[in-house]
Amino acid sequence: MSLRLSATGLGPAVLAWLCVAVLLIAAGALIDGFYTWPSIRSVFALTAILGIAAAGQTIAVVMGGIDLSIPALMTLTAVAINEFTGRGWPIVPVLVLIAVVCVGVGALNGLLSAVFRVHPLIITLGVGFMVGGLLLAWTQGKPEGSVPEFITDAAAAASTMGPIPLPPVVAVWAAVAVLTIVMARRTGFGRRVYAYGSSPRAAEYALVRPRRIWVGVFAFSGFTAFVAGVMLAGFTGYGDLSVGEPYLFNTVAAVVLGGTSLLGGRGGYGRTIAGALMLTLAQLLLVSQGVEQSVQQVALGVLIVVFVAFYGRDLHVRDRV
Amino acid sequence: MSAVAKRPARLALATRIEARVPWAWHRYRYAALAYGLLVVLLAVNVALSERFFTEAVLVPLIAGAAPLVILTIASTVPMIAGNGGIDISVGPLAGLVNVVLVVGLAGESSSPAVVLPVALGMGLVSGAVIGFLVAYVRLAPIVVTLGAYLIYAALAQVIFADRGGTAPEWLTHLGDKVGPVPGGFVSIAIVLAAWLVLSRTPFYRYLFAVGDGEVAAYTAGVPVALVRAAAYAIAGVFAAVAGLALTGLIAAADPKIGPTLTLTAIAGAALGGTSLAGGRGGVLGALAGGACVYLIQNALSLMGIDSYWVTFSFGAILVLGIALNGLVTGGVKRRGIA
Repeated sequence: MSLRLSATGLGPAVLAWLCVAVLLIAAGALIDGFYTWPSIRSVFALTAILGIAAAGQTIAVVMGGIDLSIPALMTLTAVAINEFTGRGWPIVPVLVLIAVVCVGVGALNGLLSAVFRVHPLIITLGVGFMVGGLLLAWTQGKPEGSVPEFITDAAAAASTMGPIPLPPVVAVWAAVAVLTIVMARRTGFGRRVYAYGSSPRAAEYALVRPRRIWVGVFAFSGFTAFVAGVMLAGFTGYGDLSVGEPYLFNTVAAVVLGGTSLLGGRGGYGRTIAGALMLTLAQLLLVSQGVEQSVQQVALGVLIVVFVAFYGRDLHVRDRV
Repeated sequence: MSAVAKRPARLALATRIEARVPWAWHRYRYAALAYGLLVVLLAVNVALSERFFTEAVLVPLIAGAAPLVILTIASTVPMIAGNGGIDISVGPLAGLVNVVLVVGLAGESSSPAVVLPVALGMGLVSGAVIGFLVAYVRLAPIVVTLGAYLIYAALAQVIFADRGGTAPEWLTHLGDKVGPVPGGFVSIAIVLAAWLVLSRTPFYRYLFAVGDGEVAAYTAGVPVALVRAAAYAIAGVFAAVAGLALTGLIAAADPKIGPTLTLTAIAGAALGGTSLAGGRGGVLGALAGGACVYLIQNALSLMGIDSYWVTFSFGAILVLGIALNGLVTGGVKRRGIA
């Protein structure tokens, strides 16, 4: 990238991690006992679900799209786990079933957007409404049931994996992260996604098949939404019909704060990890200062815009001529 | 070779209509599906409700639709400007205007001379700031307006947490009737009139030029950044008008309604034929798209459909409508998305 993208001349990934560092220092200064293992561990556990959900969002954005059906699929997963477990179904087939549904819905998102050439923002929004409505009708608005204990344990910040003092949810996050980065950087599919995101037309001349890219990308996003939904079910311990809602904008915010361009082709999951950590740390700082819920939201809105203003700027149109 | 040149068996519907009415079809075909759907939905609503064409039914229906329709128009303008243009803050902005009017301006007693400048000023300032951040600082529109969404929704909650208060008496006519005219028509007509004036200025052509291809527009000397910033400023002012219509409708302050209107407004804009790729669409389509979205919800509740299915049907009609939009009206540009 020869063109100057930020005022400082540093790349967005570097700046995103610098922001994380600044927030870490601020948290250490303002929160008593922040640099202790339990508190670091809970930062990771808190960020993990957002990080997992944002993996699919990252790939969708790199391709030049966006996925607003993630919260609906996360809610679907959480509610379905509760309902089926409440009816005494064995958990493994239930999880497989939900995973298949989520991946299928994701693939449908991609297929509809590609075939009808409609912006995925609208399609995923509509599909999200449909999934949410089906859930309402299925549960009659009052989801019930329970979450298997091993899932609750996996998502609890205090639990450990044998000798390793980290909760399993962080390990799941790490696995999703490795999967995402390897897929994006080391496979032909990932290369084609980046090519398509940079320039759909050029990619088609290079024999990239658009429909496969669309379906694959959104199916992947459906899968990570499923994994995030399982962890969310464990974290909350129940399946509320609005449980996924915060992840509508938070996943987009994490991707953009990390420095992935919404125009497609530039960025990656490593940056999104920084973005997700920034969101969690900023929220933690505000809570620790006793800031009221709604004022927190105002501050978060300002923070997102200010951070992005540092390094998430687009090129001037004269540099695109 | 030409003696037995193949003739297409059947021309596409779009092409056949274009042969008859080239000018109007070319200009308005983006909205064809929305208006077709509007006719169908009106018929469904007429069939479902008793005495549809009476004041008691029509006046509340139009007043109820007005905030959503105006917000649909508001969110359409930045979309036309393209390059990922979208304003998801219009709903919360309307909600904030509503709360400020009722709670901040001493409610019932405030006169139009105070209320109107404050409301429209809020819209203009908000839109101008967002436009500045998007067009000059060059931040992604969805991020800036997401930030604004969070800020406005929270501010409205800070000012007033519940539903209550009293709206200025003169404003409640917008929720009922202004003279013999349904109030909803009045607020929508104000926005349409403003847009009609704008469409007689160079801004209108510039807006579509920028949306169609900003590089070409820039090369041709169009002030790209200014046009894009203006699109958001206009959206802000229109959202403020929606706030006025909302205040007239509920005759109180309610910080919870505004944010719920954003996604439906964007759905309406898309249904109205406006493409998120930019350069294609318009306010007339948004008028029909917003009305469709409202009528879908109205028809579903008239049918006595279990309210749980309303959300599903809404999503299904949205996806189907958008998909058909691409097929029926054709001419969807093939290019980078978002």
